[in-house]
Amino acid sequence: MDTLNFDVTVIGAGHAGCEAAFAVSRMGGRVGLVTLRLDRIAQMSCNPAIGGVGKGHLVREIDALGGVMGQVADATGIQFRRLNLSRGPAVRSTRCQSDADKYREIMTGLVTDNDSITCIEGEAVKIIHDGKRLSGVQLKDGRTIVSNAIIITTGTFLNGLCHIGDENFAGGRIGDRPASFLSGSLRELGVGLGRFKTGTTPRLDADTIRWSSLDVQYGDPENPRFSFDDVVNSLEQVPCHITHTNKATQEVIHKNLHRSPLYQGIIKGHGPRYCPSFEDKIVRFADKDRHHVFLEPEGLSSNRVYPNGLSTSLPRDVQEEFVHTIPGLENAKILQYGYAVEYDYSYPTQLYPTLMTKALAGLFLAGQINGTSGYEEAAAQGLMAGINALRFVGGDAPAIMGREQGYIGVLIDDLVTKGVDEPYRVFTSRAEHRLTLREANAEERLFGLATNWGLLSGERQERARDRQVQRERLRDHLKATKVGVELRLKLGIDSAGVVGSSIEDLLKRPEVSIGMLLSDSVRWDPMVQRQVQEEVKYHGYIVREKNEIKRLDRLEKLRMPKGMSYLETPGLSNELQEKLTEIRPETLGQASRIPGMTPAAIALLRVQIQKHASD
Amino acid sequence: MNYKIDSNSDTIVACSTGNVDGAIAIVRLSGPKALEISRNVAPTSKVRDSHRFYRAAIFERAEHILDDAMVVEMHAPRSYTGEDMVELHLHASRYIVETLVERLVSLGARLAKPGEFTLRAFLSGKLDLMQAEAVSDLIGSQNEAEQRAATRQLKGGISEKVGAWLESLEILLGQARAALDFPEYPTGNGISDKGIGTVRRVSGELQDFIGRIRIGMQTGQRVCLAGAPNVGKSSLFNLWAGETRVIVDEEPGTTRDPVEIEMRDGALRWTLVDTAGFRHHAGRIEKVGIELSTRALAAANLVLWLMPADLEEGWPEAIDGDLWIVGTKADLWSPEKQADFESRVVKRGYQFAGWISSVEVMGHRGLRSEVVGHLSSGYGDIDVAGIVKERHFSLLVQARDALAQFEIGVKNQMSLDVLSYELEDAAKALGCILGNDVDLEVLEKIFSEFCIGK
Repeated sequence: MDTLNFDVTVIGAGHAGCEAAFAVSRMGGRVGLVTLRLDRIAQMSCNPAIGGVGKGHLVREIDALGGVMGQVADATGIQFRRLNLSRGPAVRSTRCQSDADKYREIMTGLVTDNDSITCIEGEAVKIIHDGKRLSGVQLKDGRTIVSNAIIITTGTFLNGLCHIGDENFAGGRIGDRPASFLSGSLRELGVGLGRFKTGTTPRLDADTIRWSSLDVQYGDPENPRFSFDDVVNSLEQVPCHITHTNKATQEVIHKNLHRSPLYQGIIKGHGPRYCPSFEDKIVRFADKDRHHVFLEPEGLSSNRVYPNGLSTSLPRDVQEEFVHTIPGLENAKILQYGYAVEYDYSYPTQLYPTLMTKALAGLFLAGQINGTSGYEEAAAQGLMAGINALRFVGGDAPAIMGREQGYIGVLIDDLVTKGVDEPYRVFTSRAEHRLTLREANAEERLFGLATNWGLLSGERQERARDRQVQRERLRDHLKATKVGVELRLKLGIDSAGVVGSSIEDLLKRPEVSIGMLLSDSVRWDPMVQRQVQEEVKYHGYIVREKNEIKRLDRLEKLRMPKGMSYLETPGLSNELQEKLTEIRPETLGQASRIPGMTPAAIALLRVQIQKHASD
Repeated sequence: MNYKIDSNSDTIVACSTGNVDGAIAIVRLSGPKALEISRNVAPTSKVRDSHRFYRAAIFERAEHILDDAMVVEMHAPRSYTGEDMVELHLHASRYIVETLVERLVSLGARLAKPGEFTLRAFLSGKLDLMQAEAVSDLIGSQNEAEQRAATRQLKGGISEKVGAWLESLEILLGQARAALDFPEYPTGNGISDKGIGTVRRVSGELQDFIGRIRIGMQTGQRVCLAGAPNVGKSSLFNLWAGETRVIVDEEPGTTRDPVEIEMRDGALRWTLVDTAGFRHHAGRIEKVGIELSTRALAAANLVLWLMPADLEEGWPEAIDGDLWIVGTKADLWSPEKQADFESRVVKRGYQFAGWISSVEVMGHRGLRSEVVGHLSSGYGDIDVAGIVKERHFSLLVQARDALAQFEIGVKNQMSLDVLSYELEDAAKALGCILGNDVDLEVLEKIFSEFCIGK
């Protein structure tokens, strides 16, 4: 048997764990990946889709940092769309339906084929440490893994408890047992744990749905992708279908509400407001008797259908009854009942912005265990935890992405500074610099970080540089090319004054798009065209935002003194003293984002920084 | 200046009444040891209630009484600074005040730095940023109108107004953000007609408010002397200034840069500006001076355009502000010539202010009182607006402009990400006025402007 000794050990092989393992591997580290079941690596436990508003941004950033999620999603997508087209370039997001089995298979292949990743089937039960630093992890079967850094990415598995009606059973996901011992080990270290819940929908048999009666939603013809690289995908592209609930559905829910574990008080964990269970929706939006339901295929070779919008933990007979009230689903057969899962999560304010716990050096937490929801949020954290874990082992400085650099930066700063009181999902509205943080420019804005952190292979760097050259060339081309009479007439512009101005100026007009201006538009990468067009059209706003970022940077540059005792800082309220002591902000900028922070308190902290500096 | 804000763990002292030659001087203490130190110089056998005046003998040292005074303690947190505070109301004598302050310092108090009392009030959450700024204005206010404005602001009047605008925008922003994140959100771009109405209302109120602010108030309103070269501008300037500050020469175009001086008439302070003469075919060097003058003109609250009766050319161009024609060299013209000139002025649509002559020193007093009357009349509105700081003014303008951009954006069917950016920009500017969003540079600058003991 191999000696189990790694630079970094990752516990959990879901979306966070895989991304973490690949990050360590790309940076040249050796990594152990512990999972309860080797046949469930990167399983899509809930909906068979990647991306969406804000989430698409995360996936593009992961890709720009050399991550795998975007590439695997591109390879296994069976329908690609871009959302929010009408709401502006900042919030346009890519989303795809995935073939869930293929996604798992391809990710599993990548993990197992990787020489520096060792997969270990087993259950981690205890973190080994001397109180100051950790030295490894104990598995249930008695094996010990020696490692100076551990990343826990256990998702919903810590003390997972599944509910269907008043039945409940231990499990991190239906059909899979939970991780029952690790919570105790974390508590022993002083890591505080809370309880969250999330839920999923019943799965339906495709052969029993009356498809002909339903509206169809196809993917976008241009097949928008996540990765900046070209990824081969020869899978058939398929549509989703749309139906909706009605008064009869509502009545079934109302009649049976008392049988819901949520309303009975059996489930105590907080659920996400933005992704409520169906019974929640009925109660909260009582005046709405119609709710959309998207019927999403789980894969090309699967007959399972995921009815998006019907997440529920009502008893089986109620699920049968209300599903059958929905047009098209009158005879639908339920292959797996919807359920809710309750699980332990760690309060993310217990983490540094590197995702390392303050309780124990070398211990990192990433993904749903930090109170987030979503595959993309998990993967983003896994990536950053992987980078930082290996840097920690090597004695390198923390790798932190600023809020002005990417959604990943926003996500992590929100978690460690503000904490969570419900499962956290990324939103574009959470990013104050969203006009700068667009999907299209993710590679350009993160290239510096990616290379500094050593995340890109030589070939990938080469391709990224090629794209950069193309962007520069297109920018120059737009500036240097003058509008001729022919172009003016072709575009039907009345004013003769435009002749002789640059085509870049023309592009600023709302009715002009870049494709109209390039005689050889096929020559330019569509992604490059899209990015440069956004820059030109939104130039004024981007400049304004840049100035604002510069202004705020003054606060980010002011570092809080190490070992500062907030409890002895006069003038701070007790509440703020406690919060500051818990969060230990790294900069005045971070301190200013702590909920409840007042300008007066910021002024006080500013005074303290100055005092420390002069001492 | 690199102003350092000190920790507030110690006890500070200052004479709060400045160098006023009144009957009473007030020395204030604030900080954890304020009560203890004050009881040392003003001993009492009983405990003093908070917020109550007590007569007390003030001891310079044991058995040596310095003054017979009134003492009032204000116990934390019910005090201006939020800390324990004591006021000692003394007879106003430099000797008494200085001796006492020295004594208090020897007992462990520290001399307050500029603005430190107000800084502490702000840090303890007793004042918002705007109110803190108003304190500085109240004490530094030069006339009654400024004082009224500052008092209003101290009471939170403006903060309330700005707060209400901010609240309206925040509601709208909430809807816009929801639409950004939920593609299935019902209304088209997330901004309902009602929302657009809200922006229009707030924008209108802001515009109205800004229109009633005269930014000149802080620095004094400006009166600009203008006209062709050598018509007598500098002569009038010197006469009013009471001293020869500008070289007066027979050669036209002697004054090249605008020269200004602060004037005082009763409660009113204003600034008198002399400009280079305006004439066609100006020399190269003079052109620079004229450009500066044009700018000075644009910034003036009132322009006095000086013209001798024999000048056929050199009528002023239309400007935004008030402009009066003043006839000069009155001693040279016959009454007929004067009457002819006056009618030409009126015919051209200008307002005629009167005649002056620097040789016989006539007319300028009457002109000055008209000017003062005119400037004073502008103050009513400022009082209503109650705005005093240029910083606030520019933030209000920023908010107004962002909302204007929003409305243009709606008209041009701009996308929601950009529209919400404008809303956020406006909300941020209003938040800055309230001090919800703090720029440290501003914060430190504000407090360096305060005087000791406020």
